[in-house]
Amino acid sequence: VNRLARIAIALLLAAAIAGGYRWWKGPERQIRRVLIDVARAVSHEAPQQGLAGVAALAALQDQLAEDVVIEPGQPFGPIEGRDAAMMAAAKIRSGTPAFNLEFVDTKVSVAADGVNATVDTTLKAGLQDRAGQSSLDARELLVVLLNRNGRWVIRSVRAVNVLEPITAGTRSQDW
Amino acid sequence: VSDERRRLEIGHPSARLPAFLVTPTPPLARRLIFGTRPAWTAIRVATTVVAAYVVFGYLLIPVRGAGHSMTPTLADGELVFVNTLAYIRHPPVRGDIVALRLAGTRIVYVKRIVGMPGERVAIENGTLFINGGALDEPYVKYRGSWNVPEVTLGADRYLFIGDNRAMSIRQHDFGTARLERVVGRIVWLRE
Repeated sequence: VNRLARIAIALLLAAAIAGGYRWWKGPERQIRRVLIDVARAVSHEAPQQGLAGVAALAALQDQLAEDVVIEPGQPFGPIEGRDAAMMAAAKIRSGTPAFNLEFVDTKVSVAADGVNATVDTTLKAGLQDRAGQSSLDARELLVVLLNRNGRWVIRSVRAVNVLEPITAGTRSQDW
Repeated sequence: VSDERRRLEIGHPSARLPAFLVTPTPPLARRLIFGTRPAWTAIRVATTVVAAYVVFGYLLIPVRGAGHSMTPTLADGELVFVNTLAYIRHPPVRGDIVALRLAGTRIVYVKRIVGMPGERVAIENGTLFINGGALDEPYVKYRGSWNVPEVTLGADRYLFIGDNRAMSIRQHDFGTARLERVVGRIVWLRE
């Protein structure tokens, strides 16, 4: 019995190590890493201009496709292209005293071709304005990534309507 | 045994050092921490940890409110729980406060169900009308000038709104969703 138990434990350990290695080398971890890097590039605890801000934004550039399209949902308009996205990120970094971005409940699906991937995630954004007031925004995002030359880059980001407006034009009419 | 050694024994009245310094781990302390049967204690601890994980991870999920859309029913920062088993036997009813999932359940929206599938709903100056009649909503303490023309809800869609109608309509997330979005009913609200 002891011998059998030892063999079972050894097999379980081997399976765990193989699974861990597969996960480590697999696309899911790399895709999660992209999201973590994006969050890190945009988040800051104090307004950053100059070299520190530029370095953070340079890191963001590597995560975005040149033709990236970002639709963050109301009240923000769509952002098209990497340059526009970088400008928006720079505006956040310089214009807010503190901003913290986090992706939670992230689910990654990689297509069979290994080139396309979709991520369903919740974006949690904590903002502190100039008056020191804190606010929290959360929205569900659908992120599409492409594998370009062995690197995963974000092709599009679209906010999901968790609550559908009760009529398409009603709310904008009242604004 | 010499007199000197006897003085250092545990509990000896003439001992110069306190007993816990002479004996690093007294049996009583060991018994208090690990019990008389350490194996059973380990099983009890493991069972408690697993039970807490299942209960608070899946059945009664703790949620801390952020924002003012449910004021005054739910205060900013207030801790409530989501009962995920609430709608196993019956569907939600009007007036229930529920949690709505986003991509998962770590961050949820907390809203009140005010419209049921197939109903005609409208909002006039912050007052909700269901099938043409004003809905009695004692939980709404503050009303702003919200106006939404009448619309008929889909056969599988519920209408969710927060209790705070004083805030600007554009800052308030409300609308319809299917039952799949509902994680469960909010419980343990303060009265």
